[in-house]
Amino acid sequence: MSDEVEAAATSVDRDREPTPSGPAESPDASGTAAIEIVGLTKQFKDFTAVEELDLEIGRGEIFGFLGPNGAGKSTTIRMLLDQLRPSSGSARVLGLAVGPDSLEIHRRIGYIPGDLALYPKLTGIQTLRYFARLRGNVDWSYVLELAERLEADLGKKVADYSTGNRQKIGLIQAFMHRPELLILDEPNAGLDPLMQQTFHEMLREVRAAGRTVFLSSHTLSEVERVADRVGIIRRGKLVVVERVDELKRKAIRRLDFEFDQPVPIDMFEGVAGVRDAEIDGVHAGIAYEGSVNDVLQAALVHEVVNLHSRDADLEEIFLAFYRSDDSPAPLSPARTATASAPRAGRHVR
Amino acid sequence: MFAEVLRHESRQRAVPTGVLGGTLAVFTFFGLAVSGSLGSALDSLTASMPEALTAFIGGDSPGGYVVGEIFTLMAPIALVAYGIIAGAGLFAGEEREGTMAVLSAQPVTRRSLLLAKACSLLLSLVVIAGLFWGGMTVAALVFDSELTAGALAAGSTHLVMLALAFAAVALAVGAATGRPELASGTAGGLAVISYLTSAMLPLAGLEQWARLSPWHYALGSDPLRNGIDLSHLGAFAAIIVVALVAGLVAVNRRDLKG
Repeated sequence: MSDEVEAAATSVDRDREPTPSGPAESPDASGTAAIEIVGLTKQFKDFTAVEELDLEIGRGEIFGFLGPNGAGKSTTIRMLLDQLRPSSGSARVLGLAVGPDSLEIHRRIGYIPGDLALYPKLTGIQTLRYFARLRGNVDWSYVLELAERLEADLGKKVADYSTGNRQKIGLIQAFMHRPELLILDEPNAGLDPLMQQTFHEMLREVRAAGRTVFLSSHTLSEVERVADRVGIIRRGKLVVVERVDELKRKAIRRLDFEFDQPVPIDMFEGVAGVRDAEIDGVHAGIAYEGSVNDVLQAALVHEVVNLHSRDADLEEIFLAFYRSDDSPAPLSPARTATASAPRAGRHVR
Repeated sequence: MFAEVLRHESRQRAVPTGVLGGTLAVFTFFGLAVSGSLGSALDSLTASMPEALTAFIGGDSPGGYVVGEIFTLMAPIALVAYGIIAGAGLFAGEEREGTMAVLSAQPVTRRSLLLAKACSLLLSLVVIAGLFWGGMTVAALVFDSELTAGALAAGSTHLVMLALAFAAVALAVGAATGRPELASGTAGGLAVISYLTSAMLPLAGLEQWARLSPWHYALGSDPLRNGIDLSHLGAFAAIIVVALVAGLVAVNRRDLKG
């Protein structure tokens, strides 16, 4: 992080004491979960977007809500915000019932939608002023601090912003009233790596202040650095809720080898942990779970000239859970569906 | 919060409001200037027409044919079209553009949003009609027309209420469905059908049926000649209230788009 950003971070740290709407003075700040969801279901005609979702998120944690596009993440979030009405089930946010108490919930949360749209004719500062006035409890100096920290240009019209700059305005409006709960739907869109780092620091500061973050993403790498726990949703069903370190342990990872000469196509057959091996002459792509030692031992029989490690993608993590014998109950139907999927197979290109 | 939404909406709509109001004012001024030189020729032309046809084209209006055209055709169509387009986009437009996602997460209820937006549209239409009235009044003084400021205010008031009625229908359909195209199509279709009903049925001797059309309540009492007709304005108020209540009920029951 640059000195400037670090200085700004320190500056914001000093301002993290609770606000009038903050946790410390909130009547129900302790003893209740930040989010409690019971049997939440959303049906659109004959399509079930979210089905019987149960979830509890404690105060002061960063919860990653993971799932591929169309899995039901945004639908769940929009039900929490009372933008969509559930077909059945219920939810409480900060101890308040979604629906009857949504006005108060909105007062105490910050939100950025997945596909952020702002008023194109307004400048960034006009946009933030509008939302700040709607809220009424915004410390404008804190808004400027956030803008400085995110290096947001507030002077341009929204129509002239890049995706990243527009996203920064969205993030500022979500953070600016120091909400007790941040609901962030794909918040990293368009942010460069430095800004992502700053953003993650901001999330950690929120957690350190006892506030809560509900962070939705389709990318594991986006949440694994900051989240304490993750929930994975797939086809509207919550597949699993797990601590991040446990999730990583179960994840399938990939290694790409380049050898100095063509290798046998069955060289990884029978190697413990190998899920899939794609071998094409001097190149081999290995998907494995568990310890990497056995894979490396099998590979190093030949001369390796290059080795590249890739992050596990989400679908593979889903598959890992489907295959796992100790998967939670909701996995049962999916496990049956994927039982015929190849296990330690061999694929030759 | 209501005031903030109202202020934001009014600011967003300031340019089209000013442009439309200014255009109507300037057009009206020059229209009356031209009618002064062509007045006698136009009057003799409309005098030879059947009475119903003369009424249809506005030839029997105080101030003559041009004033009639402006008050029975151009200004109402401009105001109604603006009201429908703006009304359809007020709530449902934010859903289509995606801005409703952030807006509806603020501490403001859907109903407050809808009411604030409806008030901003009312203000906008009043400003447009005010500019139109101003242009007309100045032109009437300059060109020595028989029209008075009071008569013009009465006519303008009826036009504002006409536009508000259709705007309220568009706003309600948009609030109920979240679909601005459906809202403008529904209200626009109603406006066209009811205009034709109001204009054509009297030609066929079916004046009573023309009372079903909102246009009858804008022009039927001849406000330029007879002043404001409170019963006709009441009919508009009833349409506006029913549409708004329907919109307020419906918007709270559905899923928001965007």
